Amino acid sequence: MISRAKKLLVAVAVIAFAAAIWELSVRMFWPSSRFIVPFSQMLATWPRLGFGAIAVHIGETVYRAMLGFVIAAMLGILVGLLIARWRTLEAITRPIIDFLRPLPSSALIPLATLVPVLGLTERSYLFIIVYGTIWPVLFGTLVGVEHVNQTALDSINQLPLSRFGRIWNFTLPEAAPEIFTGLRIALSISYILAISAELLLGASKSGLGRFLQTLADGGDYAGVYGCILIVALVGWILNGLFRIGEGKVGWLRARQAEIGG
Amino acid sequence: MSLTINAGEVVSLLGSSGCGKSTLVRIVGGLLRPDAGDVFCDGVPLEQPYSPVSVVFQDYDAAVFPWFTARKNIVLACGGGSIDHSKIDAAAAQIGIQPLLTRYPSTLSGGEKQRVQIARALVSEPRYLLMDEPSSSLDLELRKTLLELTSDLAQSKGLGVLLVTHNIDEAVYVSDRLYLAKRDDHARRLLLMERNGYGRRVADLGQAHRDADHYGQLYEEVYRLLFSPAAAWPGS
Repeated sequence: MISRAKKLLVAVAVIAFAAAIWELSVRMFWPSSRFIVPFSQMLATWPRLGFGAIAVHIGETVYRAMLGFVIAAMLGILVGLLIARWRTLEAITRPIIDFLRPLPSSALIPLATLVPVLGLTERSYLFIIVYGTIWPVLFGTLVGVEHVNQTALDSINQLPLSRFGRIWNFTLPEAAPEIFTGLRIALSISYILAISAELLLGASKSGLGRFLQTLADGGDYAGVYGCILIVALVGWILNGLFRIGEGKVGWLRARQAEIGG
Repeated sequence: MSLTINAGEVVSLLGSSGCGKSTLVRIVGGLLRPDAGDVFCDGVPLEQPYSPVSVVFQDYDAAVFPWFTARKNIVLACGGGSIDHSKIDAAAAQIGIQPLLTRYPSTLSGGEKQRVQIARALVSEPRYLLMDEPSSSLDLELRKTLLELTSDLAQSKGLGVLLVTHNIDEAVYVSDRLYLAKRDDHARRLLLMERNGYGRRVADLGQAHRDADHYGQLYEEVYRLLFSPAAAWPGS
């Protein structure tokens, strides 16, 4: 089994190799292009853009993404548990869910700007992020709860526990692998939507999306590349942190060991 | 059909796989509502899980929760109130799993997990214990230990035990009464035939004679009845 440190080392080595290939290719084939810049030039833009400013933009975007993610995660798990528990509720809500699910969040951006409660405010960002992020959590929870083992279910049902006790001690741990798969996907979506909303909505002057748009508007191609690199790096770190956090959840580890995941 | 379990006796429900034995256990345990008929526990109609009745399931891997230690698995049967750990220790000691209480199920053998499940079933001090093929995945030695434990629980604690099995040997070995089960495909129902006094008759023979002709005769008798045509069964 490869240790986490070795995995990280391999990942860094692979990225470094890809960066070197990019650097060489650009220098060999497009040495004077304005539109394609070498990797070293991307990195060189960071001090020019200012580490302080970059940190503020990262903080703003990550805050928006995380707030949307947490709200969507709580709503998704709660609604998923309710729908999976009551078949009548499922029969009523399923057509609505199936109808709304394919609707992309970005299609709601014009609407968000028009609705007085949302408008060009932080609430619009949150609305767009939560709407797009809730689906994988909701479906992960639904699948996890619906595929509970019948013997395990009988086993918990015969114990003298409250409804909450059953959910806490059984339903959530039993459905944990599917819920966490949904959460992992949701985290990426919340980050993507935070940047997309910042790019398209323009309600705030900060955030990586807005920063990217400002650089593009000023024709700073190297800056745009440098900023894209930051966007990718932050996404990679967020995913890595989630995986570390996931490894600390005893419920999940035990279930994954049981199902050989 | 009618099935009765009295206090202090081991009753076996013996039938081939798929005939509906486990469904019957789920009904008797209040985990499944019957299409027709009633279940009574001490005269009280039973429509949902009821604390005097505990169930031990065949699939211990599913029934024992892997995210809790053996102790926490047993604690769940104490409900949400204050937990009397001495009761848990006593139940674990009776089943012989006290040294395993801090371990997680992934580190336990099949027999140990099954015993955790039995300890959990016993800690709530039930009056009736329903055991759905509890030994089907265990080796011979563990099966024997489990059957003797079952018989011991019935005698020492006055537990009424329903042992569901498809194994004629273990039904004859441990039961005071036997219900033979057969699926009547034509009428789409479960047929039951009651036979009395097996375990006691075998026990009376003593350990040295358990392999003797008499044991073989009992086995033959049950085998013949079990595989007789459905039309010959009472109630068909």
